Amino acid sequence: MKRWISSPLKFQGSTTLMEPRAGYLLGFVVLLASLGLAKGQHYLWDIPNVDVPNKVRVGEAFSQRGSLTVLVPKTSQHRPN
Amino acid sequence: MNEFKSDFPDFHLDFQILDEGDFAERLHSSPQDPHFPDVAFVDNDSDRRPLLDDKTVVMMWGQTRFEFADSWSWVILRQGRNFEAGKAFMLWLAQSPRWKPMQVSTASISPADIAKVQAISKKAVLAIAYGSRRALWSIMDPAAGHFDDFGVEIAGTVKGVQPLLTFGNSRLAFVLLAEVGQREKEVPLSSWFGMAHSAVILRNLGDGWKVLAFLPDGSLPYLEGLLGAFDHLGLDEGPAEAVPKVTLLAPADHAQLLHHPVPYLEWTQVDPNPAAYVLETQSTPGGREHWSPSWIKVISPIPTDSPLRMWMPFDNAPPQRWRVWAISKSGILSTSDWRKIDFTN
Repeated sequence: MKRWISSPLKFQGSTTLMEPRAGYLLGFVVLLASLGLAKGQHYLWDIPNVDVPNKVRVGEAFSQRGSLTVLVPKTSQHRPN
Repeated sequence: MNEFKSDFPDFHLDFQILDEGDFAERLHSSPQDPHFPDVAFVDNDSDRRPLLDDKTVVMMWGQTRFEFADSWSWVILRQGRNFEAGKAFMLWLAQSPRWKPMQVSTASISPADIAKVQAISKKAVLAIAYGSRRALWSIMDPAAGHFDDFGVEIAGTVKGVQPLLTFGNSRLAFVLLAEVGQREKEVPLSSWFGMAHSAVILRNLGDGWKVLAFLPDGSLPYLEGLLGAFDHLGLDEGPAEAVPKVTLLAPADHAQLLHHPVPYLEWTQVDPNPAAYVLETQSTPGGREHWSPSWIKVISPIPTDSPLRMWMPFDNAPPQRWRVWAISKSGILSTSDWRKIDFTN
């Protein structure tokens, strides 16, 4: 990837080599676009699709005897009741 | 917390309410202390910041169902004796284990369409969680309000998504979902765990269901109230007559206004009266066009020929653009153009 970036930079300042530089840049943009597309497609298909076992999880955690210490400040304006 | 004791009578909840000084001392005490907390409500940034910096807490993800209890303040202490019960407590804050979906009257949507809108809604939730704009836009209605802010990205940590309630007719569908997410510590970001709720409104124009509005991360009571307002419209399977677009009157597009006094919104009524209007707003904090997800409110038409007028509703973030939908009894819908407001303070 870095070679794609550094190569055109060598030609900076040369008017005669503007077209090759533009070609490099175009190729670089196409490469980035294709990588972005591939990434998007990967995300699209890599998304899990499972159900939430909420009731089971909460029920299991508190079904047995145990304890939970919950700390709340008295002064809080948003204190839960 | 009486509700917790009612839900789990055999489980001992040690609910400690302490003065500010004692609270801070207990919060930063040794984990060997027999009163060291498993869960804490830390709404003071000077108390919370060191805990976040040290990665010793996991913050709540999602919204609590309790009023006046800021979700961002709930944390699970990693060094507590009952970390797994602390996680279950976060889920309990978001949704009661005795929760049941409300009874709905708008139920002419077919079982096949229910399966389709649920699948699309789950995909929308996951696309948001993964920050996958491409996946989201592929299932959005062309008329949906575009938004850029996907919130906290929890890619790879969504444990699951479940539709809780689905209703509608053959043209409009409404889905309420729950998603459990967990993100372990990644410097410099915080760790999260909890349950978030979302609502999705979908439209079928004859070529398949698309997402018309995605309402992420609302508290369960808020989303139930919003969906209940749509259910009360009594959508039916009447003829597919077109609905005229609402014409917005005030404020003018790009009006320069102050936050106070609160501006009013005005639009013409459509004829015949629709079943409801829906106000849709979006904000763009920072002034650049990086739009938030939509906030919507259902508004009943009133028997008058005069334009409708209401105060711009907002709490913290004033919306910078707005539009109005008109929905017929049969579920046909039109959307007005967007209008922007340029707040000057």
